Amino acid sequence: MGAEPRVHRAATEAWPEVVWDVPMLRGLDARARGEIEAAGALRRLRAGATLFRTGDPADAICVVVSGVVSLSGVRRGEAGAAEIRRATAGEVLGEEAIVAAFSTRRLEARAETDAIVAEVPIVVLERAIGRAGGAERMAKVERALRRAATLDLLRTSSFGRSLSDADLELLLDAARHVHVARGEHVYREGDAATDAFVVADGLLQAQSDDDGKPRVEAYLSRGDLFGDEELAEREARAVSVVASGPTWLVAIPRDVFVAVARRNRSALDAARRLRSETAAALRRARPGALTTAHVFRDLYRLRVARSLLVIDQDACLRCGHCAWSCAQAHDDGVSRLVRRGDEIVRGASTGATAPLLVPSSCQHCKNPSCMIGCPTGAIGRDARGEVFVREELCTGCGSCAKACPWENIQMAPRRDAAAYPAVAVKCDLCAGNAGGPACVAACPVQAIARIDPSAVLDVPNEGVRDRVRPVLPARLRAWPWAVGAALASAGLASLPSLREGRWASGVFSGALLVLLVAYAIGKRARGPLAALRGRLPLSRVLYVAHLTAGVLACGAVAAHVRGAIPPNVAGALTLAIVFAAVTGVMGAAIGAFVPRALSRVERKSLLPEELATRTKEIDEKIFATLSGKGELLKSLFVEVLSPYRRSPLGPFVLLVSQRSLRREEEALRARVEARAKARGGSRRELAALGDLVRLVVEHRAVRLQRVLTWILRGWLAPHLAATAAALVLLALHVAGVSRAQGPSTTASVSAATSTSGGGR
Amino acid sequence: MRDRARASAPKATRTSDVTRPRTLALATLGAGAGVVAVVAAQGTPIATERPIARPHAHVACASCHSSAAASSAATPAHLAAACKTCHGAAHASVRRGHRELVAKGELPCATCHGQHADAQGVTFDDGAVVRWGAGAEVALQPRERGVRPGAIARGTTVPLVPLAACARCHDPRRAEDPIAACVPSAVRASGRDAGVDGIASQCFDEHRRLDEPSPAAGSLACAGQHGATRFVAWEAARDVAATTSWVAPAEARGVPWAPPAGALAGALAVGAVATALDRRRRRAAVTKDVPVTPAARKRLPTIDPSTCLGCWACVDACPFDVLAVERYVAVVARPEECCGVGVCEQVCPNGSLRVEDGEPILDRPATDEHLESRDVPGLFLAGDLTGLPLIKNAINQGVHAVDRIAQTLPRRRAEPIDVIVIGAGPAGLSAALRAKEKDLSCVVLEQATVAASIKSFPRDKIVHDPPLDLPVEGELWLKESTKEELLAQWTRIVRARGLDVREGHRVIDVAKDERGFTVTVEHDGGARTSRLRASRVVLAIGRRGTPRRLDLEIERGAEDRVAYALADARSFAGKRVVVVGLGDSAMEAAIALARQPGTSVTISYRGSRFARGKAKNIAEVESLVARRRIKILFETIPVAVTRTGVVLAGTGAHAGRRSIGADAMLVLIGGVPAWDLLTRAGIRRPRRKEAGAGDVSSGTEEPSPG
Repeated sequence: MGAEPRVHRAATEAWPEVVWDVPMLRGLDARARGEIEAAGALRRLRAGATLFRTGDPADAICVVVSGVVSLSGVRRGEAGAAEIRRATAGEVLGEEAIVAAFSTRRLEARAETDAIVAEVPIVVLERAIGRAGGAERMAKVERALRRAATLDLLRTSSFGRSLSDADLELLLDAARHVHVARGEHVYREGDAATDAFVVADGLLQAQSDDDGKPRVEAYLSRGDLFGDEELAEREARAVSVVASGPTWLVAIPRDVFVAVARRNRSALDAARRLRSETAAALRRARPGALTTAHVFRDLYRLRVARSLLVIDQDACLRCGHCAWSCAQAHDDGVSRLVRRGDEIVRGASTGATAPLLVPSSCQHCKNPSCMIGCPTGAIGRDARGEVFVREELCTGCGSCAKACPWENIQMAPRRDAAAYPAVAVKCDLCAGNAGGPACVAACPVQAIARIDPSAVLDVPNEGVRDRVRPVLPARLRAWPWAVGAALASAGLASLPSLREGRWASGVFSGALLVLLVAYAIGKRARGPLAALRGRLPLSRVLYVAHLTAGVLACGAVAAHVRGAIPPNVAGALTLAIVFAAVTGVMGAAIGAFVPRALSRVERKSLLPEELATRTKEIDEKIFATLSGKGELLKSLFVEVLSPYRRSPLGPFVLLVSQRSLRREEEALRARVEARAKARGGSRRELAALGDLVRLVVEHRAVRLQRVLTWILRGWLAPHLAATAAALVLLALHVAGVSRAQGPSTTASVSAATSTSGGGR
Repeated sequence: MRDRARASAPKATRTSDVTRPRTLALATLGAGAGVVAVVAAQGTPIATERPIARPHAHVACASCHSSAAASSAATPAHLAAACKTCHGAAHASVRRGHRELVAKGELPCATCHGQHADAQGVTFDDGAVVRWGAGAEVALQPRERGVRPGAIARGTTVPLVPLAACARCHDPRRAEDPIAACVPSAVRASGRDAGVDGIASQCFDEHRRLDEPSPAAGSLACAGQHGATRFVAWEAARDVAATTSWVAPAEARGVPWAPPAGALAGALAVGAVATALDRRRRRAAVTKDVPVTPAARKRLPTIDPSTCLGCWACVDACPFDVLAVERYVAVVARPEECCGVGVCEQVCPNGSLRVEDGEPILDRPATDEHLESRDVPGLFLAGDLTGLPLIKNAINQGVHAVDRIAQTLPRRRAEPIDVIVIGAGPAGLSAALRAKEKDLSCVVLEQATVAASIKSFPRDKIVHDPPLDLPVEGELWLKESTKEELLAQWTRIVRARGLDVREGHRVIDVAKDERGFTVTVEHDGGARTSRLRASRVVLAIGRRGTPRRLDLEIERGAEDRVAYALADARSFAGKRVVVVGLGDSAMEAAIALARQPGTSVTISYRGSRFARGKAKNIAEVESLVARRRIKILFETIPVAVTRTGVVLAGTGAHAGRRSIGADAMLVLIGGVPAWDLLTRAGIRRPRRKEAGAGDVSSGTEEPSPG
């Protein structure tokens, strides 16, 4: 938060009376005023300065204390901005904050003269009024604010922008405000049509039923009109509309809407035209390059995310450095990043697809659900839209953690034993860390990155971009270095001067060994080395350097030992180094090939400790699915699916076959269906077959996942053990050699040739 | 205005990603320690030592190799100097050629007397003759070798000079070469190409001629080597050299696997211990005090509205929707549903919610803190019966009761069965499992089938998982499981563990005497009765008892149209169903039915409005009513079932009978608790009247009589 202007202030100046004279704030008690002053802000603007821009967070209502502020915005379907209205001293603007809690500004507010504006955070205001004047008073204030905000909204909406003031008033009088929670239906296919809707904020999907599965027909976002087509003829709803995230709607009853629409035929046509155009764009966008498959599953997440953490599962080593470094970067040692979550598929430009994991880590929503319920206003957003938790205001009630749809906020025990035992923690983008987010800097394969999905992924409704940037930054390649080092290493091993001079090769190998061990420390460095992180992928550079040094060390050690393994510490040292080198090379090879195999069989990314119980969970689901089913299905399960699930070599077969899970399911399903056909099974009897096939295939896949994860993470322990052994033995070896050499060993190099050698 | 996505806030956990580096670091330290331990225990040589000839076995390397004097010669001069420090300078060669070379420094001692790979010699000890190489020895029997013991001074050592050393300048195969006499005839006889490796020179008079007199015995340390018997020793040594084979220098004693293996073992040991500790800490973090006995008094939350933040924490935590938020302040909306467990108090961030004790609860059997009945010692209660709700608690209680039984049961078993468990619900099964673990003989008697009460839940109903951090004991609990999953798991456990569960056995009497209990059971549909004897009885019959029935006129042929539980809503697809009742189970059944395609659902309820039930269920039913999927007929009671429909009688304003068409009727109006059996077992039923009179010492408060 360091450099941000909106840090929490302990002491605040008292606000001028003109603020408290605004109708909605009149009569607030001292406690309420104090709370508002503590959470809000008084801003002084010079003429021409901007109060807020389109897209800024809208979490406060602004009261003009002095001066004039003008509001302007782009009407939906138009190209340029136009002035909507002006506010002078004692007037209110930014009412849209109440319509959709914590959305973004639609309009731009600019000071026409020097002005002072008081910002009143909406959550605190609601609570203060609710407590002081009761629900009736709050309802009244809310009604007034909503009316003002709805007017602004209608003026910029696709339908209302060209309506006369009289018609707008008519709509306003009849309008109802509807809030729809994530996943709830506004209406279902076949329901009676009673209202037309304008989206005040949020995102909705219009879905039609496609053989039991919903198919997305269109996405609806702010300013869009929908539900109007069936009204005139009183038809039943043709599609279902579901909220993808918390959504606020303005509902206009049928009679009023039809009357107004009849008078403004052209406005309605324009609105419908706009909608059909975006729907056509959506259909076009579907198969495009870099279009993400998940877009049709959870577009909402990508639309609201401002900074989304993604992990390239094809490269990720599952080493957990990201989560670990996150825990290290915060004083309480709690990782804000949990490496589990949805996987999305991004299309690569080559036509192949690659899975991206979206782990549980705050994505700094444009429209954060967590802020809505916070009773103390402890969650805020800074000027750049980063969501932060003010720990000193947090009471640990957990309402933000419950509200986040993706479990990106966790409750952690508070370090200082203050009044409240818990505190909400979430990703703060490593604020105050010069090198940027620790997780990104810590990745040895550059597989993790913070992206702005709207800039990087092809998200429909956002317009078609000419060029889509690659999702992840270009990776520093390791293999050219490894190959180069291998050649150099072979040269070293055959270098006559190194082979003859035992001291030269010994000192060189020892130094390389120490360098290799220093890698483990370099990764964790905090001081000046850590400052480099922002400028270069430090962990990756260190990893490649470690690999190169390791290969070089092999050559140097070969030159030093000349193939002999004497029965003493020197021989043990040789063995330890060989073991470390072998495990290291194995690790590099595993890191290069296994992640791809693993990501192919992952349906959902899980932590290693969860994989163990996952097979059991799948078994439970299989038996629950089977219970109460017909004899045919049960016997098919016993004959085909059960052996498939149990087969000890199953995971290996899945690995070797190189099939994707979907292919595997199709193949297995075809096998079962062929058998079913031979027995004359009907479609109805096999209704649950798809679920069963999916479950048994996942069972096999999870078993394979366990093995592969174990391989990915398992090689490190022997590598470290061998390295530790080598380090200890190296110390003993150096001590032993120098003791045999006596006190003054440095003078002679060649004289010692015959003395430091192993048994020949 | 609120999206309630989750009932409980996710807690920050230490994933393996975070704990792994620490474990790995510890394992690495363990590897280092393992190496040090192995090196120390095994005495692995630390320096790069080479095998050395027997006479010099105890001489430090540095005695010969310490000099830093620079020399590029193959055999550095400082080694020659080192020999003189012990052996003196008197070992001049008797041969002129050699003497000249020595003087020039071109023939140091080590040329002939190599001490490492080339060393070879014979030592005569008291009882044995030892032929040795560098670091290796072969003991020979003196008699076989024709050496008389005592003829040679003890400890006399004769070095053998390898012919290979001579061959550097001489040609041992040429007869005219000066060393021809020292070469065994076999070597000369062999061809030019034959090697001279492994053959010792036969001459010993390099430094002292045979005919020279022995020097006077002086104070020199080596005087013993140069006594009168020296020549005898030479002869014996030549004999030994000719008849025994070359002793190969000590080979490397195998590959030094031990230190790296020690590292691996150390890493494994420390890593395993660290992982185990980690797991234990994680488990300890969730272990808290578990409520086993219900509170004696009605407990209700009270909220201080001046400090309440309105944060919903308590509302979300409550498993029974007792609390609600109104005007940004939490209020107790449905006090009658409060279970008094007090989760809300635990989650309240600033202590504005406190659960306080109210009036005593009387309508339940009295138990002590170990769930033993106060009225009938030896009879234990577990599950819903005790007044503590939730499946999780029932599981805990079953375990707790059996633990107590195992503690108090006398060692001598007087009865054929240790524990009889009545009821195979969550509490009963967990009790039986625990008894199996504790090696107690146990029989479970169940009037219907395993977990009948849970079977009667509507299909796919999520078994309520309240946000309690209870460490559930046993393996019965599945997180967030549906009824089917839970049932499947339990049935499997019963089969896998071989629990003796007797289904269809209805207990009609439990009688206590001084030795134990006699349990009378009715089975085979009431056709037969039998008696069982047991030391202890666990009553886990729940509160459901038997479903409450309606007094109905049922037309012949319409008997199967009335059901008292909904097993599978799907079987009612496309039918007209009347649901009687408006409690949670009735509402959940109606919701499940309304979701089936083509099913029309009518609810008949004698009240005039929603009186109780979870807010979520009420909201769902109301929305289904609004969408015309469910019809509610308030103030009606079914009186008759015909082959075509149901006859409802109106109460209040809508008096009079009417008939509606229906294919099935589902009666879900609660159950009758099995107080009958309890009283027969000797448990006293507290009277409501006493509660009204405020007699706090009655019922639960009173210690057991006698």
